[in-house]
Amino acid sequence: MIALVIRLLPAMLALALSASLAAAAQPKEPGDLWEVVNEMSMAGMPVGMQMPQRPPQKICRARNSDQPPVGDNDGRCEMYDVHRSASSFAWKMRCQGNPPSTGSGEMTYEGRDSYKGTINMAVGSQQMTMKLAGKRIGECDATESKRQVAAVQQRAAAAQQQASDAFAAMCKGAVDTMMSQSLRPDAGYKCDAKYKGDFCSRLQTPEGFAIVAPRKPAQIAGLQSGDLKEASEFCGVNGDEIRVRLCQRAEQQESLDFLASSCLGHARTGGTPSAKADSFGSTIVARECAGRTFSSPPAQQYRSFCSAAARQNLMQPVTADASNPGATVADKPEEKKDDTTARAKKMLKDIFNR
Amino acid sequence: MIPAARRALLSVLAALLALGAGVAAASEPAVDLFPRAASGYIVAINGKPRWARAPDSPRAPASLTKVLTALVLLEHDWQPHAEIVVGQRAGRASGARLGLRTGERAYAVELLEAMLVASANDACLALAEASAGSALAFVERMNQRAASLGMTASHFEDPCGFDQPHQVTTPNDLLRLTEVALSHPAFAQAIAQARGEVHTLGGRKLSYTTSNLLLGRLEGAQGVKTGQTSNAGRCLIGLVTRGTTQVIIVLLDAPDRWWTAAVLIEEAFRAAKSG
Repeated sequence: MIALVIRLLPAMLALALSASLAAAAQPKEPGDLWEVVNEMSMAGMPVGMQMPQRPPQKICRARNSDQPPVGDNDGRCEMYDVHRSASSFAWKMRCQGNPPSTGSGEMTYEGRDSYKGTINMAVGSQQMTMKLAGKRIGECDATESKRQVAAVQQRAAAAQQQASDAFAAMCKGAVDTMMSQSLRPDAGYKCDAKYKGDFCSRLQTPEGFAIVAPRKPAQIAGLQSGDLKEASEFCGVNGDEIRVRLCQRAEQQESLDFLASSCLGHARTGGTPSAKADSFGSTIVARECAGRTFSSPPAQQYRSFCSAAARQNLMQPVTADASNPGATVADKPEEKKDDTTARAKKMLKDIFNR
Repeated sequence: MIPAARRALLSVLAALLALGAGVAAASEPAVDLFPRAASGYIVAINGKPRWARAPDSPRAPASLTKVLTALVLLEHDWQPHAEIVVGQRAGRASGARLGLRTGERAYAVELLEAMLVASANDACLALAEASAGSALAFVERMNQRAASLGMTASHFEDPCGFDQPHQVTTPNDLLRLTEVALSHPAFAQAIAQARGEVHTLGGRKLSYTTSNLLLGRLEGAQGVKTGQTSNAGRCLIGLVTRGTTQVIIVLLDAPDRWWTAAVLIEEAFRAAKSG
């Protein structure tokens, strides 16, 4: 957005100098050719760092203009509260964008052949200043200037629309991927409140929750992962309560994919279960997964779910009872087959810890 | 960099990190993502260890030993159609066996396949004794080869993996060994078989099936070796290839080795896909 304003300011200045062209068009309109120098600076810019500066520009301005110095350039920046005296213009301006910007400007003529002025803009939390200086260096055809200004306006409008579309796409993408950190006010671009509403509504659904729930907290300080804690805080809701509600329904409806992604290993009462039997999905695991051997696997519709349960089990920290597994079989290398009954019992025990 | 831009960059970084959560970068040391998988394990994706637990801790290898046995056999004047005479000790071998009788003869290649596919101890001992003159002499070759492979934490005392007081290896050493063994076509061909037959020169036909339950049940499974003894617990070296991605897992003392293997392998391919 800042880059956009930087691009727009010269165009706005050109408009200021050419404002009188808004008057009735004539085949040829006499004008003054001005050489304009703009110096931009930004508050808080470290010492030694400079904003990129443009070389002097030549701008044709309609002679004897009595119009306000700046008109509505491309529909994005609105000039208002314009004051003109014999030798000066002063105005305020507000620009649409992401984030929107506001500012004010003033210009003072030094005789007929030179002027100085300043434009101050607030872009989000950034303060930007442009110092203006111009001197008359000849004559020109203001009709051509008008055409050029119209072209600039058109390009600026297209660029603004493109930027606006890009931001909208990013905000929608953040909802689609359930990245709360991309929707936060400090995300670097400001998404409309509508997107936060969409995100928070989606967080309450199995579809949205299942995207957020498996995420781990960010491992690097200062970064965000978009996990459930962050998403809940962003929406001002209790993530555990949402999980309990959604997982209860998923258990009732045997929504296995959701149970596998978002509920296994979580207590029915919220938080960490004190026993495996308190966990969401444990009833289905006991009924459909436990005791199944690899060569006589669970029913087809439960296989992914049972694999997820096994995975969840393997990822649990090792406790004393699981620290020395095995060492119970015959002292012979490689039996022909596993003892499936003993193995099933052991698996049952390992999965359910009972 | 202005704060807004820095925040935007951090958001992008965070998003990227979130997408890769739980997945270690290839250059990072393998992490123990599955503490309950086995007492010692390693999962390698395209040769790079991804997850591991106690990868350098010595444990009993059980019949995973036979991978080294096969490698030593294949690298010492290997003649596939040599007639191997079953010695007395081989004829009495316990545990998994084909049912060879003392004095019977069979072709070396068929015994090698039975040793790798069905973990037949009678075939294993017959080959080791025939190759080096005695099991003891063969073990000496095994330890020399292990040393040359850099299997510094491994020591072997039995060619077929029977528990011995100082017979140990590690997940890392077994991974290295497996990668080298797979470079031998005869090894790679043998371990992929689900069943086979040994035809003794006396006319008996001894059928066997693989001890590897992953074969035919898990997409892309190409076998390698199973093992199980009292000291070692349930062990497995598994090889699975899908497209251009190859996953090798080594499990030492894994209570539910088949489910564990299946879960780890699927996770590995998921991780490989997400980068």
